[in-house]
Amino acid sequence: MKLLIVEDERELSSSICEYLQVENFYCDAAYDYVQALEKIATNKYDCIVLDIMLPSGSGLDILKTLKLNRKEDSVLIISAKNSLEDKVSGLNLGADDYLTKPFNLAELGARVQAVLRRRSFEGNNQVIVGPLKLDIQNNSLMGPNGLIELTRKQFDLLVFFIGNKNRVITKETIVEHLWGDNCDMFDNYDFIYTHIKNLRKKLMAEGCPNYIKVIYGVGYKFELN
Amino acid sequence: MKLISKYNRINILLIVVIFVMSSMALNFFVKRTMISELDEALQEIKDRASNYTQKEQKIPVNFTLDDYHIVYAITPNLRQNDLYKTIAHTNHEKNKIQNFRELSYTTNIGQFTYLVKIEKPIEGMRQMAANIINLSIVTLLIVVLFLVVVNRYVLTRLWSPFYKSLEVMDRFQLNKQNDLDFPITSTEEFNYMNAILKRSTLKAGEDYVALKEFTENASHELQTPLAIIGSKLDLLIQDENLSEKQEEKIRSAYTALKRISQLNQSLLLSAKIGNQQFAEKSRISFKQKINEKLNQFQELWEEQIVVNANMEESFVLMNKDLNDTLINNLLSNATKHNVLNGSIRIQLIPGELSITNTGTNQALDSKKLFQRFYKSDQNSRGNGLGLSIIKQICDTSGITINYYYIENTHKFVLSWNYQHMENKNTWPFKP
Repeated sequence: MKLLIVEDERELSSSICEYLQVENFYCDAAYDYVQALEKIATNKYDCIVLDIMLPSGSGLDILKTLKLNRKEDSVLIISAKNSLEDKVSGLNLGADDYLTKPFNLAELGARVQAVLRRRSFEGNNQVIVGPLKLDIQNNSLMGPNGLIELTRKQFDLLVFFIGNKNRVITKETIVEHLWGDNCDMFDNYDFIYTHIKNLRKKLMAEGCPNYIKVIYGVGYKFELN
Repeated sequence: MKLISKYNRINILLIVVIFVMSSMALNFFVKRTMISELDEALQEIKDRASNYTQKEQKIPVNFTLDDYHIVYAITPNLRQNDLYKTIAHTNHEKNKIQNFRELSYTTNIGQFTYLVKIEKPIEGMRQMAANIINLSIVTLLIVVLFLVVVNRYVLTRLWSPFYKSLEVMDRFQLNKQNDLDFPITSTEEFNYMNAILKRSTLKAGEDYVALKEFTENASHELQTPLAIIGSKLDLLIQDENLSEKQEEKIRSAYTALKRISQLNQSLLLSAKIGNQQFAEKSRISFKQKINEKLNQFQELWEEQIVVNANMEESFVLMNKDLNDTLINNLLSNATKHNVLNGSIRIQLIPGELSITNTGTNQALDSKKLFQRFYKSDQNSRGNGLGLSIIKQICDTSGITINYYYIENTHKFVLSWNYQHMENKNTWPFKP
């Protein structure tokens, strides 16, 4: 998979690349409008992570150029501009998803995975990870010994883990992903432990190894070799 | 009071005063003219009588058919001057007082001195005065009526560009870039006013755009470094060789980063509400929206707080995003400031939502409650913007919010006018 990160902030760009490159992703970086247009013209990318505010032009114009040239690269917009109009015009122009800065790299990872999944399977959303077979559309999971019953939250949690496999995710990031932005009203995130414990129990009962590792004090890691 | 009523009031008052004064003056001058005519006539009679007495040396005969009386009486004093005066006699036949003009003088006839009095009735004087007054009143009424009608018509026409300009200004919204179309008039003052209005609104629009851009740019500038810090922390925790102490420090950094990100978001939201960037309103079912939130957070409350909702269908006309933020902030507020094993009670009826939570045994300062950065407890994790944003949203959405403290419970009551909302049949959700 080939990704293009269009982000003028080199530090952020390098973080994104470093985080996403863990898998079979190859990340290319463009730091301004012209560079981005050049790279898009000469390469074919599976997904473009696109910042809207660039030093020499608007990311939305890059998106327009892409669509005008009938390029099929998926586009995920990342921007500090979280005003509704920008979100709407971005999605109207054909962007696949929209993420507001500041975001967690894990959230970006999950979104990129989702965008790529939608693109490559064209509706037939099956993800195969080791002995696990996930059907994203029907929220069902097949283990080595057959169907594993999961609650909605457990399924979403598993998809989020798989989107960030072999990487440490903080408890906050998981809670934010599953319950939205407003969970900061709760003092402790211990309830997430219950969800993870139950998910792990179900997976292990169906013959899976213990995928979910606790990284003490920080979060969790879905380990898969 | 309308300008035209004000103008008419002053105008009519002035006209009445002028009319009364002019009628009085007219009355006075007419009377004076009549008296002087009478006096001239009396003088003529006197001349005739004097001629007669000088020639004949005897008193003339008085004819009853004459409209004047001459009375001769012997007097010891000889007087030099003629004396005119108005006198009243009671007419016993008609039983009314009649005014006379009298000329008295002394003259010598033979060896006697006579006092001569010539009297002539003042006729039609009272009638004349009455006529003058009547005429004045009728003319006054006609003039006033005419003025009112004409003023109304003329003033309405003259001021119509003014009201048109007002209408245009009324439609003006800072957050909507629309060109204001002021009427072109032949009145210089109105054209001047329109030019100033146009210039001011244009300037306000430009300032507004600049401010909006500033807010957005400022937030962008702040969000990017925050995003970098966050991304570096996300990468840092991937390191497998971190010691427990290092992880603890990273956790603290995460917590602080989260706080500053939220503060930035809240300030931005607050500025946006202040700039009226959420003007688009729609009819929203409060019940449905609250239920969505309750479902979202139910399992998070489960172990700590009992949430109790008693809701009837209730609609509100407001911005969708603001409604979402409002419910979030209210619930978040009730949760954050709750106690262990506490409760939240939500009550919704048409036009009123109340949220009650258990909490500290001290009422909040109702004067500072909705101010930015107000914190009842300095160690509170909140940024002190939650309630001020709630208040801002209520203000822009026509909702009144009140706070009550009753025995360790804190209650926020939101009320709004819902009457006009209930008559619409277009709502897809059946209550």
